[in-house]
Amino acid sequence: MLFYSFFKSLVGKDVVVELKNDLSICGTLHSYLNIKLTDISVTDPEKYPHMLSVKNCFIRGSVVRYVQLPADEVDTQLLQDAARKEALQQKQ
Amino acid sequence: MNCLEGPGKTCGPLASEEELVSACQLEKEEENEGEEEEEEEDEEDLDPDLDPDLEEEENDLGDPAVLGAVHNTQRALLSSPGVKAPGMLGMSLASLHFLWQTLDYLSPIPFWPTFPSTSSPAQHFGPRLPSPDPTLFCSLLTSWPPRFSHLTQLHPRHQRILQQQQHSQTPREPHFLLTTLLRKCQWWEYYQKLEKKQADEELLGRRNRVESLKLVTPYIPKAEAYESVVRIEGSLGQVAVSTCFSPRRAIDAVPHGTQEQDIEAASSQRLRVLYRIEKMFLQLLEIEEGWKYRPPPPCFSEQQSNQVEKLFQTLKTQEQNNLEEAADGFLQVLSVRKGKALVARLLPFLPQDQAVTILLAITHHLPLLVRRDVADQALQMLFKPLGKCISHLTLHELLQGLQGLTLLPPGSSERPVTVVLQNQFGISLLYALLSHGEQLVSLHSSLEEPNSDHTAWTDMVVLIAWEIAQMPTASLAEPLAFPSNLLPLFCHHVDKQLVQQLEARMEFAWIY
Repeated sequence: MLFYSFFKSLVGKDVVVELKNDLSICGTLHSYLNIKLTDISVTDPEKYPHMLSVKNCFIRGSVVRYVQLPADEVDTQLLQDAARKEALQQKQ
Repeated sequence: MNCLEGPGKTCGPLASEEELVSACQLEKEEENEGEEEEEEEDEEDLDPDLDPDLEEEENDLGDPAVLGAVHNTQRALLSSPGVKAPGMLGMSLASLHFLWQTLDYLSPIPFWPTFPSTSSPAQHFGPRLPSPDPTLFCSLLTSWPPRFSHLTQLHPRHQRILQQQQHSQTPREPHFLLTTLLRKCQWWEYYQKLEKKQADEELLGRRNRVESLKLVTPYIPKAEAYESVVRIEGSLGQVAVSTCFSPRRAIDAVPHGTQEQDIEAASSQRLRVLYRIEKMFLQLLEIEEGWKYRPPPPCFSEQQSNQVEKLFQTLKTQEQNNLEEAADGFLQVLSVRKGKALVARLLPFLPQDQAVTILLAITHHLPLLVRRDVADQALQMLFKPLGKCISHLTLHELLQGLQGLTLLPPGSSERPVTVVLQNQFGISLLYALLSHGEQLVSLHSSLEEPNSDHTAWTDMVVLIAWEIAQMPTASLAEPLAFPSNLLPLFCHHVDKQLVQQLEARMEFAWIY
């Protein structure tokens, strides 16, 4: 459940999604788990010119390797505490 | 070459291109008129080898109606004598030749023109519309034959054609010239229209995303050799090396590198410490939860005090039987960022004497902690909670804590306090302690006669002042807070010359 609520708080923020094929896409998060991004740009356009004209994209969740978040949008302490509580609940 | 003449907006090749474009537009309108029957014979004139290629390129560009027009245009221009194009053709075939060469350089890349450094082409094309091409063509003069990056993937047929051209610099087939030129003109025109539309939209304010700040995330450079796929010689496919469970490294959470015997022991030790910290964190979370809707400490219920006591004991003893090991365990907890966060969050809940114990332990082992914190720089989070504890110290306790810093360790000429002075947290804590000591001394000076504590205090102050003066200003760390009674304290106990030196250093460090 923490995963859902965490991503819910990130909708509308800029993220960089790194896929398993090494492609990194920066965009505004629209929906999560399967990731929809709006107004995207590719971090390394020289290597992936075929994305130059794409504005919005849909990424299947299983191909995501990393989602890089803006540091000031995330309260690390809060997130850590929530994760600890979640782990405790799952163990019980 | 024509394009090098003068700074005019439209130089030779560009002018001809624009005229060609307008000719294309003209011809588009006439497309439906029955000119096709007349041009059938012209198809044989075209290089048969290139015809299938044209159709393939058609798919790339994606607009068959447009390309149909291009085909017709080409035929029309070549056949009908009444159109002005052939005359133009004759006039600047040389410049067209040049134009084609430069365009061909760009042809491998499906979008044209491309500027590698842009993230969104719309932004750059708009303001550059006035004169992009002359500069482009002129800069490309020097780059023939074209050098493609190793990433450029060409269609095999295209690659072949380019290689042929590179090897034999023979006069090109004029029809082929025109064909490709027209195709590219068409594309360029379409692209310009698109950019213009987007620029207009921007002006109207619909696309205000462009102005908003983009996320700037640090892209961890692949410093280590990272090949995500391995290609074995003679094989048809690739093998993925990075897997779901061992992707490319993005953060420094886990230390990587060669695993040796003692490093393995150290990493398992680290894991044990982390495990202990997590258990303590669960206890801390319980305490914080109970405290959330109640007034701040020390108004504790018995249950809460028990919880706090239990946690403190866990922290202090580290579930070790030996005192030494317990102290060691405590230091290990403090060496990890998570451990520092734990202690920082626990301190407000602790009763006074226990908090003082922790403060003194930290002060005593300050050099060691500072050295271990070089990577994290996380000691800062302890400063505020410790600052509150300092006001509860007695002079005697203070002196006990500071003694370790000023004693010369055997076999070394450097006092531990020098290491402390070079670290931000260290120097801030030291200043806070000195300031408190000064407060205590000035409060009690009138009441008591000077005793051993006072002399010890004076010696301590003089020694620390001397150490500060010895240190080069550059290595003196900037404190988090600068107490106001510090300089008067030094003036009190130290000679004028030294005070001047101190002033220079401390003020400089402070203001800077």
